[in-house]
Amino acid sequence: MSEVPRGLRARPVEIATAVGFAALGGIAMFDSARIGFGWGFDGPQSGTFPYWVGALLMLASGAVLAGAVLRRTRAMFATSEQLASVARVFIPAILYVAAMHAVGLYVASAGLLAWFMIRLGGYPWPVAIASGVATAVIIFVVFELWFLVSLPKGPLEELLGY
Amino acid sequence: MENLAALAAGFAVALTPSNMVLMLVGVLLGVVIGVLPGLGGANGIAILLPLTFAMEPVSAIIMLSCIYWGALFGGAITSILFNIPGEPWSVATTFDGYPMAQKGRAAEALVAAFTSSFFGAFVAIVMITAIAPLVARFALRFGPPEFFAVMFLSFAAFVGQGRGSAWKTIASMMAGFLFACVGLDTVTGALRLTFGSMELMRGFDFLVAVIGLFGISEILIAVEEGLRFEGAKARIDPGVVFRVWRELPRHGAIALRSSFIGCWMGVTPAGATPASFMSYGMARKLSRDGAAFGTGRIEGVIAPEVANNAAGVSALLPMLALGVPGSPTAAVLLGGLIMWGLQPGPMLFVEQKDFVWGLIASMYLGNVAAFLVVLTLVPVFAAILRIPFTIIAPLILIACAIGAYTVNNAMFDVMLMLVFGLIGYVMKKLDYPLAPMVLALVLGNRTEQAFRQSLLLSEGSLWVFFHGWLSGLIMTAGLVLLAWPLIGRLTASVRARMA
Amino acid sequence: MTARLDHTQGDGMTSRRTLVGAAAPFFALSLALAACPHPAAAQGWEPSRPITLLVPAGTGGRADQMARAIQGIVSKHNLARQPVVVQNKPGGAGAEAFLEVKNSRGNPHLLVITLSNLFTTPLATGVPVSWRDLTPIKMMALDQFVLWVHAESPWRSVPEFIAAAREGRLRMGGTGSRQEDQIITVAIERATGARFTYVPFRGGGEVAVQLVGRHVDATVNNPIEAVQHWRSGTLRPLCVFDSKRLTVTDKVTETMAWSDIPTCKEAGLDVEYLMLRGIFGAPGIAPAVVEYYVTLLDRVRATPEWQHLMTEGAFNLTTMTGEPFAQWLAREEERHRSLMAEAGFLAR
Repeated sequence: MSEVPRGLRARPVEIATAVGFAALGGIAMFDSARIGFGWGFDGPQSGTFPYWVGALLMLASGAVLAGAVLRRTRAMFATSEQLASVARVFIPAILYVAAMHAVGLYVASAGLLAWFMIRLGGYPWPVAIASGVATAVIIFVVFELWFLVSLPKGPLEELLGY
Repeated sequence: MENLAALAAGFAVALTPSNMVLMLVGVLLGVVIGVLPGLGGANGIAILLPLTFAMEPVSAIIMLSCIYWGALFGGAITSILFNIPGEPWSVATTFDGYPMAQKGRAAEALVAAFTSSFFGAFVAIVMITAIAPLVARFALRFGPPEFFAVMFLSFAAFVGQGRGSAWKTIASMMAGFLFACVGLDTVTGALRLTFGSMELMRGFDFLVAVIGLFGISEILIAVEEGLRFEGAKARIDPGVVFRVWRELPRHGAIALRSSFIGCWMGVTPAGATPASFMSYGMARKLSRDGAAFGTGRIEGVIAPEVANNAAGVSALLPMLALGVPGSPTAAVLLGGLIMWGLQPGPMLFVEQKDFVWGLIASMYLGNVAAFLVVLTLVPVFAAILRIPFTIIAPLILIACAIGAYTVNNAMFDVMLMLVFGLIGYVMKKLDYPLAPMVLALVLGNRTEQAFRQSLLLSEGSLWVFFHGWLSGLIMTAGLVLLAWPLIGRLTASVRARMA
Repeated sequence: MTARLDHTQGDGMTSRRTLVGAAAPFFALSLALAACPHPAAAQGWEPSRPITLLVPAGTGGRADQMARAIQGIVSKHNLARQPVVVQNKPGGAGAEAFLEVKNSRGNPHLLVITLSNLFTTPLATGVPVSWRDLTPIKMMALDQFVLWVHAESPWRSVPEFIAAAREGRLRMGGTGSRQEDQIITVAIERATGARFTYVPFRGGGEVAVQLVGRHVDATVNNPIEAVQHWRSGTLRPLCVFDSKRLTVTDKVTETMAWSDIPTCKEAGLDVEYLMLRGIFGAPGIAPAVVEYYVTLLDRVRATPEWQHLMTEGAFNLTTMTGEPFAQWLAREEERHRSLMAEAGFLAR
């Protein structure tokens, strides 16, 4: 085998995912036991369905887990470069959603588009910022004014009287 | 034919110039609504409903129903181009539509989707015209056991024959069921899996989950290979329409079967979502190389699109004839009818003949108009893929965020969408199939509800599903379909031994 | 063609301009918005931005229909300087919408339309919100409930029905669980000692059709949900859960009008239930704001469209504001609490 690429191997991710699903199943069983999972007078109680689904999920992820633990492969989940690319998109997306809380959807959207165009697309910043603002204005006109759908707003919109 | 005379009169109502213009406006608005996330058919029509107050009922319903047609056609667009289904019934279209787009065949997929949609809609309208009263009565036979049987059939048609690990398929589907359970239990009103959180009480809306699982995760997968989308080099030439049309007749059997499934699901009214999954599943199961489905087969676009439009159109029949909406959109239209002083129900066909037949005539015209509009727009849609990634990716993110937000007007859903995006990314990388999860998410609740309603009615006896001939028949069909791969393997081995 | 339809057409005279007619409201609205973000207050209080009307339920339901009717009426008759924006918040059986209003103290541009889930949701889920956290503005109407059975069933009167229910468990179909339909069912059980199997469905129309298809034995549908099946001769009303008979006297079938249905009490079933259709504002809004909305809603109620909607749905036209409304709410809350406690529907 020639050079081994650096990055995240599939096995730990596989194990973590299986454990995560199993935990999900366990939580579901726990909560269903609380509200009752038996067979009532007229059919199953509220918890019955999620209880058994949770049990099946635990079983299935247990099987996947066993497979992943037993089979030692050197397969990659993603290389470092791939992970870096994903992070370059996903981290701005997280910041975008976080910013939405503070400044509303419109300003955040303008910022997101401008960021992508400047940092990833290499566009000159006046173009990028103008595109961002134009996008926000179009969304505003279409949703807020034409269709009367109200989207999250922040201090700027407050200032403008909406 | 009394119906034909009535229909002719209906055309006279619908064909006034003003109504024709309304039709066109409606169709265009509908396509826009179908493409814009968060403005799905139901929301879009609900939003526009008050604006039609000032119109005559016939004109208003013509415009609103044309918005509905437009949205039904438009729903396929984002599914094919970006793997983002805007409506539950467009999910099955992504399975093969998006791979086609990735291979540079976006225009073909779009043409196939639109043509199939039109075919499905047309069959449904003919059905409504010809046998409306008869079919409406059929819907009355559907109680909870029959509904459960139909859901069972959808799952049976879909399950099995999946590629990859069986355990992963099960895990994926079970997780989907669990996500569907979160929130209020509709049968007892108890809270499940909410752990005292207000945000979780809302439950995981299907759209939020799917936008994340399909849309966001697809962007993440795409950027791994560099900042671009596959399929950007899509060729677009006017010939594509005719090329696809020449190919379509070969899939006539699928189209006919799917339109039957669609009409049936629309009338009962189980809705377009099970219809699209069921007919996709059947197309795959009954196809000779079913394993190739999911890699960009044109049949995989035709089957769900024929079925969901047939169902979408025929969903109006129970709404008109019984006052039961077959879809959320039909529910909003129903509200409109009541506001205009038309009481949907068995007497509507007798007392408001002009209205009913005007509407039916407008279905013919509206669908033709919608078809022509979307067909001429295919190059425009396909050209969207040529926009540089660094511009289109943030736009998709913004669109997804708006879509996720408007479902419940809740910020939490936007975060949830990102979480589902990450889950979808990891699952895809690890070869967990996403389709079973989505199927469970979409149909899980209603299946469980129908199951428990049936048991309430039967006081706990499971035989209720085989008690009536109709539910028994559907259940049996489901069981046969479930065993179909096994049967196929058996006959193959027998044949091999004979040879 | 009925007089009803003619009347609607009369209203629609202006709409012949079609394209313009359809699109004009959009653009007129956006222009109006752009032109005057801060309209000068003439006298009293006037809204300075769009009025959000929250619906604690999904699109297409009865509450949603009424909200959108109000929106349409306000824009058609130009009753307010700002548009009404309808927003659905179905989360947590409506709890989310109520919580948002509760947490928007002093916001004069936020209204919520309520149904009985104003009482039932907090009780059933334990979400900390009650009508006392909101500002009651106006009771718009009360929704009626009627006891329906299939026309081919042997039960022609309430006593016959009750006798049958006492003998064996009958199946009662209704909308949702731990909500108005199930509460009425519980109230009937309490009044008669009979037991029902309550089967929840998603919507009123679906419930009516389940009864027509004889998948259930009885329902307590609203008048409008079942009227067409009554007219076509497949359903039979037994009694109405109000203290007085319905007021609509136009014949619905050959022989009967809404007003011919006996009240449940006079038929020997002492149960009363009406569902609130009311408008509430955020807590802590100024009296001038409340007054503005009361006047606005009065004008909505005076329009022919609204009256038409009321007749169509055979609503109870009681309206209340201020102190009487608050007293009514307190009484209803108590009643829901006792009925739900008895049925074991309270949050654990």
